[in-house]
Amino acid sequence: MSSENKQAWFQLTVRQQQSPLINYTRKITLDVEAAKDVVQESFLKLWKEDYPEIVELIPPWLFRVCRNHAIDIKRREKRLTRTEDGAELAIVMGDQETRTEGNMALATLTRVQIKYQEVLILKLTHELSYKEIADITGHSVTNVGVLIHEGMKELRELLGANSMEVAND
Amino acid sequence: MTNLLNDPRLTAYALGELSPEQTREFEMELQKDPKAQKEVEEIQQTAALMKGELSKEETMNLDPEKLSALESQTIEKKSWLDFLRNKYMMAGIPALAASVLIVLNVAKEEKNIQYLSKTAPEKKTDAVNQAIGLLKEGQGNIVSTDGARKGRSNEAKKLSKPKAEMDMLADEEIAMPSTISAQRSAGAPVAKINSFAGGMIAHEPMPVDRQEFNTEDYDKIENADWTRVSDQPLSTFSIDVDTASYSNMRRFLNNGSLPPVDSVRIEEFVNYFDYDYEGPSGKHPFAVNFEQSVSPWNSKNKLVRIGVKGKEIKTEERPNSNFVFLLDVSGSMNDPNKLPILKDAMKLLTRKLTEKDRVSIVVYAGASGLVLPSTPGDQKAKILGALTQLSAGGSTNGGQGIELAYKVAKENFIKGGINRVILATDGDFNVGNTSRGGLLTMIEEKAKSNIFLTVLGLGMGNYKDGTLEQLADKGNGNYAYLDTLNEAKKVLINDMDSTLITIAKDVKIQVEFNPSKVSAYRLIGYENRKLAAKDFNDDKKDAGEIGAGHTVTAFYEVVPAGVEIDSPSVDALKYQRPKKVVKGNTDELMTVKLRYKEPEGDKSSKLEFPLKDESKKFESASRDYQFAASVASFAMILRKDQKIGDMSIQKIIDTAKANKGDDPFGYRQEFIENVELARELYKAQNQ
Repeated sequence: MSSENKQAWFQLTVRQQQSPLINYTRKITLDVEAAKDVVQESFLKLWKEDYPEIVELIPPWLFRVCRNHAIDIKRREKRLTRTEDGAELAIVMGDQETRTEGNMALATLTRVQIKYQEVLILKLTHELSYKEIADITGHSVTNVGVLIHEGMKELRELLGANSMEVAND
Repeated sequence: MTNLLNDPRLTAYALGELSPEQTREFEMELQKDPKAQKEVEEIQQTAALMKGELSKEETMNLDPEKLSALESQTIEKKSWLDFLRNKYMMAGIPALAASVLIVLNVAKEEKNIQYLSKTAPEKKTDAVNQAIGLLKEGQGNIVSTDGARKGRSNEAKKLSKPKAEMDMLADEEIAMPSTISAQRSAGAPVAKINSFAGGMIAHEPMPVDRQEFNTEDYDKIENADWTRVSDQPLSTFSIDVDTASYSNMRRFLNNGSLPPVDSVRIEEFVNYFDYDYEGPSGKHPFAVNFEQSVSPWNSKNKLVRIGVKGKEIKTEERPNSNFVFLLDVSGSMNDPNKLPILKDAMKLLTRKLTEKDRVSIVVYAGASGLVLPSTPGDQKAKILGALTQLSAGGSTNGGQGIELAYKVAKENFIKGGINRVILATDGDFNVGNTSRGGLLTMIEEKAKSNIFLTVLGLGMGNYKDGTLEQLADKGNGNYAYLDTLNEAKKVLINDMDSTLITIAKDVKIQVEFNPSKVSAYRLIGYENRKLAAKDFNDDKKDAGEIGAGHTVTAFYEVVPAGVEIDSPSVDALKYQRPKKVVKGNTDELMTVKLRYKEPEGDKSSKLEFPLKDESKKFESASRDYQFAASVASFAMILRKDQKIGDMSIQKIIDTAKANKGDDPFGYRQEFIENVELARELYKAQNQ
């Protein structure tokens, strides 16, 4: 495709993807400005790539680049959280109330076990497929399936306890 | 039995993650486990709830400095400028930033009522001219034509508002910006302009290029070719009362681009307009009118119009009705061009209802639900309240929604009344039964219950026109595209009876041509409504519906006997002789046969009309005839149909202007402006 089309395609991608990417990345960086830096970097990287013919592949690719970059930053700053068995965890929504901004669903998600949070966010907020989530997080597709299954169970229990609040929200 | 509750496939199934094969396999296991079935439902409900909530997360945009940095590192200046020129947008120099800020602010203010003003016809050409003018002068700034149009239109609006728009603005409830568009327009401040800031300027920036990257879906249509009468003397088709293709075209023009060729269905353009055909007087629910003249685009040929007019039903005679609004509230509907228009459209309709009507509201996203059980039409506050509360979020399980809507419609079925599901969606069904084939089979099955369907298409970017058109076709329905609230008003208020009251179903037309008068013919439009000759007498074959007062128009272009056509002929047969032509009836051009069923009937009735050959100049034909022919010509030009011959855009404009007639709603005037806008776009393309 011509350079004109590449530009058009690139602008459209930036416009469409910036908000979901920033919202996702800031859950890792825990800092909006840092997230925006990461997202800007990821777009630059995308521009330098030979852009893929299959448009659907772009968002998961961007998510993965943002994720890796954000984790690198946190690793450098030694702020990464680890699970009981020592694995690194990307998303820690933690206890900063500001980030949930009164969003009931987000607030509930912060109370789900950490290991489920990221896959649930990618599935429920960004509506990515199991395969795409596997590509982004490095889990196997089967593992993503198990995590989402268990995560949804826990989520429903939490929501059940909060059902009145949700209904009134 | 294994415990499905602990099986990850359960969640994968509920979220639509299993392959078709895995789905089949799992469904067999699921059938034996009611507890797991309930669990599936709960998972879907939770997912829908969460998606809805999560979609409310704040919109975050990169800061202007970051966008500028991106721009400077990714864009080669020269080609960038050329690109803007080519794509019909205004190029930019920084010195004019101040004036642009003004334009942008105007555009921003406009945004709240943007979807009301999209059809405001009188300014389009101005805005395009202005854009071209600025381009030629090498000034202006990076604003899409859409933005420019809006900026300009604010000035124009002070001077003259189109009547329809004034009416709507006077209606305070619908003139209020809906929450979503208000939230959006209150977004980031316009601090600095750059190419990525399109979202702040207009919802649909860079429309021309979007076509290549968006996922709108149109079925391929082949332009009709000549058929020799000696090969095939019968031409059979189903009527089509849809209008979606026309308003969809308008949306493209308003965004500064020509519509994709396959999105143009000629018959939907022609049928967008009402024609003053004589109504029925006898026992049949409609009358058929004919008119013929020399073809305006090829003087050797004739153009024959078949016009069907359904009987009118007085408002006070409207039968009791049972409406089910089936509304898509999935995440993809969360756009100022979708849910807000949809809600306002449904509110418009609700205002027209009386105690004779009942309304239920079913919504669907990842899961579906009954928001409002069947409620009498005079309890307006209750219905309006339910509509106001709708918000969008989640994936789209259209199949499940359709199931529930028809179930509700069936439960509240009114014998002898109007029973109709009104489905409003962008058509992007992505969860549950997502295959088009599956959905169509389902809707075909549902249509057998004498519940009719209206499909209202909304939005852009991932619009699935093909799916929606076919749903309406298979589901005994009609299909309109709502690009603006004005269009909603046309479909649901001005044309309320024809949209909602079906007076005959499975209406088919078969034409037999007389070989002594006609050597070849082609049906203009209706490409995907053609039927086999034997389908005409087959009552099991589904066809189109006609509404009260509806007019349906079809054109045949006919090559008189003895005139050569530019189409390869086949060799004479070796083992057969051509059939002999019956003597007599020599003054007849053709015979038109029509079949239809009563709305709740199973057996069809047949009508038959011979048509005598006449010769008349195109200019001597009736106003409606000439106007309809100019609409068909415009559609053919958009379809790049080579057989349009002598017809030019200018001739279309002149013909339409001369034959506008009373035009009480301004639709014909707007058509003329659409053609003018297209003319400018073609010019720009050829520069």
